[in-house]
Amino acid sequence: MKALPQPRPVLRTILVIALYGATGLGCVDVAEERARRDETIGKGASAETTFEIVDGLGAIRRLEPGVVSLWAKAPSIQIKVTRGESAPATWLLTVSNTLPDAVLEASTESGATALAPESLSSAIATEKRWGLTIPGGTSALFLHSRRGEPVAPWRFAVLSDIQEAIDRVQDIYARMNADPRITFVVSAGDLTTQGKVEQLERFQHELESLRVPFFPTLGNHELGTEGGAVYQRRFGRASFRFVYGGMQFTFLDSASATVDPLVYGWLDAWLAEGRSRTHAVLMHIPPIDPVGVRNGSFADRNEANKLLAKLAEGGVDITLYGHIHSYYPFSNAGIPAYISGGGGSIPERFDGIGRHYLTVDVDPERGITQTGVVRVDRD
Amino acid sequence: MRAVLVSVTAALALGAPGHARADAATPPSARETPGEDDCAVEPPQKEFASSAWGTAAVFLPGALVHGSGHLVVGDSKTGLRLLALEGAGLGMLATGFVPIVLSGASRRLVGPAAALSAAGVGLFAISFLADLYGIVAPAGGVGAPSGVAPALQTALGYRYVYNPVFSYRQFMVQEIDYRTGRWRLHPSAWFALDDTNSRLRSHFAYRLTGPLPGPERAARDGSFLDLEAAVTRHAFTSQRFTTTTGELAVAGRLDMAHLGPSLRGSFAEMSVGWALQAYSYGVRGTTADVGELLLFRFGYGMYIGWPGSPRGEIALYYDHRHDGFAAGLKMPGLGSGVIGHFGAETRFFLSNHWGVAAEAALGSAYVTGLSVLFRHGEPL
Repeated sequence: MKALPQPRPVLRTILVIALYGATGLGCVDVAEERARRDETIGKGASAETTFEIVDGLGAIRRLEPGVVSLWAKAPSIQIKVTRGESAPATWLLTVSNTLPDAVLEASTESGATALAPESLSSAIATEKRWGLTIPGGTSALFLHSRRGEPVAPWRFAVLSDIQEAIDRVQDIYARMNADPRITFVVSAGDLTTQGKVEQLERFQHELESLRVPFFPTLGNHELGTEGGAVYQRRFGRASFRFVYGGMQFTFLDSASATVDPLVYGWLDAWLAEGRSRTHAVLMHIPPIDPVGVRNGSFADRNEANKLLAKLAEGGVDITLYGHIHSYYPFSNAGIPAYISGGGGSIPERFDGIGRHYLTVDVDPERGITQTGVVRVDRD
Repeated sequence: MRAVLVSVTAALALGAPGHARADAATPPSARETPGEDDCAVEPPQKEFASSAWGTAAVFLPGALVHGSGHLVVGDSKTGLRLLALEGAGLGMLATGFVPIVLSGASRRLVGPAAALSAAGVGLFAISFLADLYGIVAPAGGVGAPSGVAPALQTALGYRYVYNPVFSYRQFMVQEIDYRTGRWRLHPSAWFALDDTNSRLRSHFAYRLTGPLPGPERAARDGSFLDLEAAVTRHAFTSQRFTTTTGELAVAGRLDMAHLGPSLRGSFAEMSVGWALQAYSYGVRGTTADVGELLLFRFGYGMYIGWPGSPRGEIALYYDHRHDGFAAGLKMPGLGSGVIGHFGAETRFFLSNHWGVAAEAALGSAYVTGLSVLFRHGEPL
């Protein structure tokens, strides 16, 4: 057997490259940190007073003695407040991104409702302010529509992938404002190009002209700054769910082309809750791209099928996605599906769609009755 | 797609493959005087000594100007060929990627444009790795290809798969690789040992050119071009779905000695194809979905060992598949979803019959494992 000529240099080089490549390419749990952060959202303490937004359905923007500001992630939210005896009793509560007719009920742990929050004025339709006197111990605040849950058919809109088209978003909001049936807007993310603080502030500033609240999850572009942490601090959880008018809305963080195992655990419970309701599931990156060779979808086709099987088994009625800057109505695992990335970011050409948003009509008795596409640039 | 196939084939054929060396399978120490029995265009051994400057030049400016390592050590012919290969890659990348950007990844363009882009990236990577190999590898490489393919190979192995969203971890893997003439039948099966997951795959190929079973039809080197087809059924019983995939591809390998003598003992691979998938769900009321996959893979490797001695090969690769166990790469930040997975694989025969194979891949999962190989055919 002949001796091999010195293999060491080349083998060593290849080994180094392989190891460097393997460590540099990242890990397979890329969404875990965001899921862990989700668990901490909506909780805060200051001056011996703790605030907890139930189910994390809001972000605490500002919390200092006597002042608390929240960003709501749902049409109605509940807040648990525990005040220490030496803490200030008088608080100014500001809630942004609420229904225009939102009212606040407050009660003590014993159920008394005599806290009588004082409503203060605000120049923004979706911002509400109250003066509160909070007794010692635990109290509960309940923010909800003055009209209560809808009993008549109602409508929500879906708008995603605004990004660099933020300068033109006002005409979309104007169209939405002109439709009185729209109760709120949900979004599958990509509100900004890189999720920077100033971009998120700009997005929020533009949103002030929208007369209804806007409930988004994040998109991959929000991961461009601190892996989405900036977004989560300002706009709350990436994965969450709420119920309105008997319909459940479940938002999943798929911005990394996967769903974290922790979120799959939450999803199982949310699907069980939603089985008896009309149920919409939203996420940014769709599990399956209808144009498969493009793969604007999950990194793992098998994980996509796993998720779709779960959603089908959970009786989900509609899936809503963004990420792809066009409009695709299709079906996944038998569930009606819509990709709508019509917020104005670099559009898919030759599709004849342009900027658009979706409308979904819901009958509290019959569920989803109709979906429509509103083409903003076509009129 | 046709343009892609033509481009890939042309790229793989770059460097006059018809001039395969008669002594391609001979270790450097046993060779005759350089040039004695070779075609005139390629000396048998490196005409330069590897140097720290050459190695440094592979990375700077070689990361951008491929072939810089060879140019610095004086092998300008190979260096310029690698530079041309890089240029071809960048050209293909631009030709494919610019339309994707300008059209917003239009459904009407994205298939061929993505394939062209991927092929461009492949050529770009291959030209860099070739420059690196040519500079750091010993003269003649560390092994030689076999011009004869074994008639039969079997593999029995173990794979560990860590995918955080699936509970399976351990698999038993079985493969048979049977060749008769130009035809190849390559069925394989993966069975989870700790789950009900199973993947059955039948892979067929027709060899247009390259090593075949039997010494009477020995090829000059390890280069080949195959037409491939495969059917795969992957059952995720515990997750209540099954995927069935049919695919077609063209796959090729080029022994890189055709590009320059310093690259002797290494090879580049590239394949491109298309797959149609059906996803069926074991949930009442669901309907099956249909999807497509762009298949694309490139790799760079080297032969290990010489005729008559233990021998095999090792390769690094990129695979654009988003199905399978490794699937696509998950990345922190903006970029997840589009990129496939990376991996390394090796197979090495310790005797005429017995060998081992190992692989490691990183995508949505870590996949790693070993197989025991048995081969029947011509001696090593």
